Amino acid sequence: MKPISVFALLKKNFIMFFRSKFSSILIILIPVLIVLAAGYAFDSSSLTNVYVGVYSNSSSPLSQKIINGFEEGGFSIKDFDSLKSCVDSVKLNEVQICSEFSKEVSTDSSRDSVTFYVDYSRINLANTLVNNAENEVNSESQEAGKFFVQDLIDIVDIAKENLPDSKLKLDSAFSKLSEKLSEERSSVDTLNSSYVDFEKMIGYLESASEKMNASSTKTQITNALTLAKALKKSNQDISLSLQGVFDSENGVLEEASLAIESIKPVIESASSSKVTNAENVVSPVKLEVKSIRKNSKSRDYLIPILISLITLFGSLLLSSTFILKEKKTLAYFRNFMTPTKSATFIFSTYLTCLIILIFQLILVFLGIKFILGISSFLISFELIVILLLASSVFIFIGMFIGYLFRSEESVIFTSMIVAGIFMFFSNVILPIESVSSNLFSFSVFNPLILLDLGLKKIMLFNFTFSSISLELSYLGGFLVVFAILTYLARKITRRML
Amino acid sequence: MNEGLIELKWVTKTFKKNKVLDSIDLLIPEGKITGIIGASGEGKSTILKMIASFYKPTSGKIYYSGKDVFKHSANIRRSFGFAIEDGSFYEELTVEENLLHFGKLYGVKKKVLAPRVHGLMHFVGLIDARKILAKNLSLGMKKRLDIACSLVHKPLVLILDEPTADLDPLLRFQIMKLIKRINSHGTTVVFTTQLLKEADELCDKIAILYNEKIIEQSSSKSLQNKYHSRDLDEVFRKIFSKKGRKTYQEYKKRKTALKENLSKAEKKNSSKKDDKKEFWEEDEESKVTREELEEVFNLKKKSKNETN
Repeated sequence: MKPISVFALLKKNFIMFFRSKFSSILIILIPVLIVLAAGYAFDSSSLTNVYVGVYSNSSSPLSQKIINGFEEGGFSIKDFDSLKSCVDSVKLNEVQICSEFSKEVSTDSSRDSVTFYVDYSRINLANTLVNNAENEVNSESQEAGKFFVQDLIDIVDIAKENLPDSKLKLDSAFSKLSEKLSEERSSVDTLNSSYVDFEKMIGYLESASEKMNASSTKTQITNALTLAKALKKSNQDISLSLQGVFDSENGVLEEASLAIESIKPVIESASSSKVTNAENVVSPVKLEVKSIRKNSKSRDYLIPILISLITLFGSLLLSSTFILKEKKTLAYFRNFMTPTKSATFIFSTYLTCLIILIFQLILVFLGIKFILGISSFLISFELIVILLLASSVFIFIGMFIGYLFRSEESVIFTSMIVAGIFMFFSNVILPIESVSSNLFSFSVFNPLILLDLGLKKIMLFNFTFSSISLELSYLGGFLVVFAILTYLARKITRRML
Repeated sequence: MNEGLIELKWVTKTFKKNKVLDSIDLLIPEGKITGIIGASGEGKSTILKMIASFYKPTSGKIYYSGKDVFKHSANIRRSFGFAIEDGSFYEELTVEENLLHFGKLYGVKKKVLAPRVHGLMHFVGLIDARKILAKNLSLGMKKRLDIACSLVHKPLVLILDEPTADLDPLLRFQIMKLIKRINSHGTTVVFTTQLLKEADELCDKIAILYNEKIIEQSSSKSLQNKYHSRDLDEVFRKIFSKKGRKTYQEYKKRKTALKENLSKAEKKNSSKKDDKKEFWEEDEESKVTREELEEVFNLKKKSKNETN
């Protein structure tokens, strides 16, 4: 490969490129305009111009709060008379989501119910809207839950405060009752001991009565004996009834003791409870989403994929049209008649496209820094390497397509199809993880994904070469394969002349 | 006649199943002008492209100075200049830019290239048009530019495929004069043509391609002597009468493209001749003279321009 031939071809390519001033300016400026437009368009993460359809068959303060929440979130509300018309409006894209508010009635209670109807053909929007709506509903549900739970907590707090005092009082009552009972026991014991005295007294009286003949004294003794027996009987009855009272009081004391024992764990649990506010009960886990990159706007995350797309489309379309233009020139035949090798032609076309693309990317980065005002991205050596490698892969794919087809329509159509396939099996339209596992294993080799991943690692998280070595090695492999294919395709076109 | 600089030995060329050339033997002498004559689609351009090592023959060998052109194609290409019928240059470049560009691709040294390009532009009469984009040149100027592009590396052999096709008589005369001047500097010239007058005036050697074969190769004088004819037209009429009307009808059938073009022109000139007759037919009444032939081609060109 002679440098003089490469320079001659480069000079010729650039003369011809800039000779068509309008198209050359367009080719260079369009990517910059795309980045700027996207940068301004996605400057915030909120959704705008979203209409939420509302059908409510039972208005409640909670449902009204949720609807107000939608409005505060920037959504426009459209009321519907029936669920069908609300859902039909989603189909017609008049509203983006339909929410049905109703009352779910069960045997013992009723509660508010919200159902969302979304169009999953716009899956990203549907997911975002559902997520937003769920957040609104969850937030209102939590507010209501907090109110009820706070009531319960207040009751627990009162119990926690009063139960220990109550227990103390119960304990003191218990001890007093115990004392009283022991006093009663001693009274019963005294009474029981007087029973023996009565027995003795009766014995004495009976023996005295036997010894005495009939006399007034005997009569008196007999009367005394009868009285003593009556007293003994009364004493016995009192003792028995006192024993009954004592037994029942004893039972009460035992129950009181059990009650005091059962209050103990309640007091202990109440004292050990750390729940002090309702929020801890309603949402015991606090959910918070934090960006792994500090001080970033949502558009910052878009920059790597935007640059990847510009590289893809810029390289693919530029190189394929360059080759097609070359093939269509009268000079194409003479190129084969010169002693210049095919590799020289291929290399110089590749170099031309690469230089134009580098110029485009420089403008894009300048636009990002000075117009969008994003200065957090560093132009590192890793960034330059992966961009050059990926651009080279896309350029060679474009050149291969350019050599493969004869007509302009076929070349542009095929280039767009290839770019479309790369885009479809990347994270641009749908998350790559959502494709089937078989396709997923192929999709991870998609050069657009490799570039996007590499750029994210480098631009967003400042990773170094070691973390992008896999992406670089795959891209290197693609570069070799498509360079060979391009060479072979050029050889084939020679035969067609 | 000098010994052959280029030699085709038993060369056959087949495109897929279509045989274009069959066992051709041709000797192209050094320093002379050799013309290959045949109807359109006969395979004249294929012969030239094989000589320039662009096409490989299906069988047979092609030698340049005794060397197989396909074994030494890179070196041999430096010795060849090739101008095709439609021209082969960048229309978006100026005359000068085209010459400088191809000079570099042919490996001409920088110091030599600029004066050579300047000289070439003088030589082909394009010095005043050097800053004009090739697409804005007239047809004749484009032909001259194409020849100049083929000469920029000072080739020993200049191959010209139908250099005067579609040109008016004046332009054709200019190109023929140019070819003679190029040859006068020692460059071997090989060209194809359908015009007998052109071949007669220019060529030291004429090879007649007919029915996939070279049926004659000699100087115009020798051919006239051989066929006892006054000029090349008569030689041709005799050759085709020899081959017979039947062969001619087959020949005519295969050359539908030419016939269609001619019939368009002939319609406009219907008062002058019968549109079913061709210029080489024996019928004296319908015989087309050289002048008439030129007129037909002029009309053909006009009708082509009108179509465009």
